Parts: sequence; C-alpha cells; structure tokens
Amino acid sequence: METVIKTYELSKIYGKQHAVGQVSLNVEKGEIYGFLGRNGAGKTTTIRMLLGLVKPTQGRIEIFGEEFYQNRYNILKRIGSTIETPGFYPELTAIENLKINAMLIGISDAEAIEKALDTVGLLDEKNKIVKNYSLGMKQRLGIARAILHSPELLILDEPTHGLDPAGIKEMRRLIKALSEKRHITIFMSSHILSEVQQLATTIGVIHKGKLLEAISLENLRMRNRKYIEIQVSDDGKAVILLEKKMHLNDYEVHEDRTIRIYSHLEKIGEINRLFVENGINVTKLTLSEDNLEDYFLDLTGGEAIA
Amino acid sequence: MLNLLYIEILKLKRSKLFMVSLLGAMVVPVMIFFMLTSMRARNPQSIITFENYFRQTDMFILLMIGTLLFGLLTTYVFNREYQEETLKNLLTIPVGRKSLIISKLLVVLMVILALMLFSFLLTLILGLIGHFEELSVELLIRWGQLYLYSGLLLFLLTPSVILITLLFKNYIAAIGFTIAVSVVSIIVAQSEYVLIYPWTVPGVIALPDLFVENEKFTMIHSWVSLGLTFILPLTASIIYFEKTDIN
Repeated sequence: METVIKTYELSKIYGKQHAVGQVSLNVEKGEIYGFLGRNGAGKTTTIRMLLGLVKPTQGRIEIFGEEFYQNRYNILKRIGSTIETPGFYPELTAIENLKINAMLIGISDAEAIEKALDTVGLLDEKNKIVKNYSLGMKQRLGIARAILHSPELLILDEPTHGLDPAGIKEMRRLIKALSEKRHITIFMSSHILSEVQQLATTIGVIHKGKLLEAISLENLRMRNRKYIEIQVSDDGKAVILLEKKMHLNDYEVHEDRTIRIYSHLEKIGEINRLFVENGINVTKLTLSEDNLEDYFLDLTGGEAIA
Repeated sequence: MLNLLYIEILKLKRSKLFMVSLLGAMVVPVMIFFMLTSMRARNPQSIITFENYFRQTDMFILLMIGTLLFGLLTTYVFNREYQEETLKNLLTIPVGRKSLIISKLLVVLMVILALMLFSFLLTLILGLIGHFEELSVELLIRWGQLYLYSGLLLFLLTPSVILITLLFKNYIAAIGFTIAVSVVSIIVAQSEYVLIYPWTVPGVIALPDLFVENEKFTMIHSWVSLGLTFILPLTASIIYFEKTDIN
C-alpha cells in the first residue's frame, strides 16, 4: 500500500502551549482518514502544518513520498483543501471565484470550473454572487474549488461545520462519491464521532495535541460488537462445551473465568442451560455492547468527543 | 506575475472600494473649486488660473487626502485576504508569498495612478465649468505628468501601511496609523522638518517651489527619507510574511 501522508513526530508549540505534540500520521492511498478530536485538540493546527500554512516546531512531513518543505510547491499542486469555513471574495460570483483558482493553478480547460460546480450541485447557481450563498453552499463551493484541479489528495478541515442535517448528509454523500468514483485519498477532520464513523476507513484520534490511536474501521467495528458475557466456575470446560455442543468459535476468554461470546446471541438461554446441565456454575450472565463512544471516552480519559 | 496582477484587479470587481475611492478622489478638486469660486465671488475683479487650481489641488492631495485615501486603499487590498479568509486558499494553491505581496503592491500603484488621473480630469472639467483662465496644452501635459508623479511618490509611502496590516491583521490599526501620520503632516508642514518627514516629502519633491531648503535639511534628505520609508517596511513586510504562520 502506498503511503500518501506520513508525519514523523510532528509538533507545534506556541509559547508554552503544545498545540500538537509528536503526531505521527500514516495515511494510505485511497482511504478516507477521519481525524477525530474535540475542538482545540490540535486538528486544524496539524492540517495547517500539512498544507504549509504553519511551520512545525519539530518533526517532518512526507507527502506522496517526498519531503514536504523541500518540494512544497509541487506537492501542494497535487492537493485540494478546505480549512474550516472556506473563504471567498463575496462580491464575485461562484464562477469568478473559481476562475481565480483556475488561473493561479494554470487550468486552461474552460469546462473544468463547470465540471467542479456540477459535481457539488452548484452549476445552476454559478452566476450567483457568493455573499448571497448559504453556509452549506459555501462549503460545497469550497469542495468545488478543492477538486478543480483533480487533486490526488483532499484535505478537508471540518467539512460539515455549521451545516444543517440535510447539508451534512449531502456533504457526506459528496465525500464518499469523491473517494469511490475519483479514488481521491481524503484526510478529513471532525469533532463529530458519528460523522467520522460513517465516512472514514481509518480513524485517528487526537486529544490535547497527541495522536492517541489510529485504527481501521474494521478493527473499530470488531471492538463495537455485541456479545454475551458469562462468568463461570470452570472456563476450560465451558469453552469445550461451546465448541462441541453449540459449535461456537467466536468467543474470547477473559480474566476471572469470564467468556465473551460474539455470535449466536439469541441462544443466551440455551448456553446458560448447557452450562448448568453440565455442572458448571454460572455466576454472571449479561448481553453487553462495547459502545463506540465509551471506547473513545476511555481513550481520551473520560472526555467526550461529540 | 501577470496572472496575479489580473486576478488582483478581478478581485476589485463590484467592490465598494471603487466608489469610496472615487468619492475620496473627488473631495479635493471639488473643495478647492468651491474655495476659489467663492473667493472670486467676493472679489469679482480677481481671476482664477488653471495653474493655481491644479497646484492647490495637487498640494492638498499630497499633504492631506493622499495619505489617507491611499492608505485606506492599501489596507483594503491587503487586509481583505485575512477578513474574507481567502489567504489560506491562495497560499495552498500555492501562490508564493513574495509574489502575492508584489502583485498587490502593483495593483495599489495602478489604482493610485488611476485615481490621480481621475482627480486631474475632474479638476480640468470643474475648471472649465468655472471658466478658469490660462488653459493651454503645455499646462495640461505638465500638470497631467505632475499628478501621476505625485501619485507615484504617494505610492512610496504605502509599505508602512502594508507592514501594519500584516502585523495586526485588521483595518483599525492601519487606518489609525494613516490618520495619525496625516494629522502630523499638517503640523510638520509648517516646520523645517517638512523636508524629512516621510508623509510630507512627496509634497516637497513634487512641488519644490512651495518649500525652501533650510540649514539642516536639503532635498537629498527628503529623497533618503522617502526611499527608506519605502524600502525598510517593504523588506520587513516580505520577511515577516514569508516567516509567519497563517492561522
């Protein structure tokens, strides 16, 4: 797998405050990397460092396998980005605003602007002055501007910030489509757990400037499964019974003779009866679920994300 | 660079700054017109020459309105990228930071020259309406050139406003600064320091017959003062902007 973004102990210190501390990111080609953290966790500062707007106090950045600060201009040409609420020249129309970017990037294809506006569903509003755009429209226009030059990597900082539920849904659809249809690698930050969970293939959790964990969605789902938790007098005998009599293999044995069974949850009564009939005392039997929010709460030391 | 320059001009489209600048550039020709015509009304024997009208208008622009008006223009051109949060987009396209400053500086120069030309044409039209005398082609060419030259000299004062805009990232500090230096100009204009105070120096250089060299200062001092006021803040602006974080 090709690595698109790699950072080595990236840090930013303002005075005595460590805004970002030793963040080592690894973003693979084609994935949607959800950069999750509370407001003020260091997401935007990290993104600004990735885009060369803020200079790191220490650490290194490699993008597309190249050292960022030595090849900054060439690398940035392959990236599209929006940072927080995208800014536009309010007196200009959408098409005029994009024309500025197209000229600066050196896009000669006149259709590129219309194509980008069409992708985000703003083609009919192309001649509207941007100051009359709603926040949702501005966010979409920001995406149109970011994809104008067909970038290989999109860096989106809080792309659903300030949007209503319909706008969030539309933005989610758009990001997914860009990833699936155009195969763009997407690095997006958010403070909303459910949003990241619905979009990202990998989630990196940043808290108080530190990257606490980076985990694939697959692994995350594993952690989020429902299970039967059963405490027995003889866990060795119990697992033999589970395998031979119930044909269950999807279980884990934990401390204190506790077994977690992840499949056939509807057979909770049957399992209990099996153990009792075979002389195993059942001291605890519950149907549990690892809540994703609880998982992040544990990770952040009890502070909620959103 | 040409692209950047075109884009800077495009950004001014539909901008209120155009109207505000035109109104600002109208103030002095209209004010002097009424001043001269009311003097003539009190003394019907007196004549008003175009020479006098052009001179008075240019002097007031150089010593009062120019610094304020062009300071406001410069602040707007530079500060809008912070206010409208467009700077982060420009720098991640990417546009070179130095190129951005220079292209904006060139736009400021172009607009200043256009406004000076507008003031010159308005002065001419008002002079014709007021039946002012002694108009000639030679006079028109000479004063046309001098208005543009005055604009160029006033442009040399703009880097200090750029530096303040970049440092404080708001309109208030830069506008406060231009008001302060303009007020001081009026005070200094009556003193020997008129030859070295940067914001009166354009007037001294453009209209040298109005100011006399004194024991302390000569025209060389004036040029050095103006040159340093252009070069030092511009260099500081470029260095600061190249190094600063964009938050």
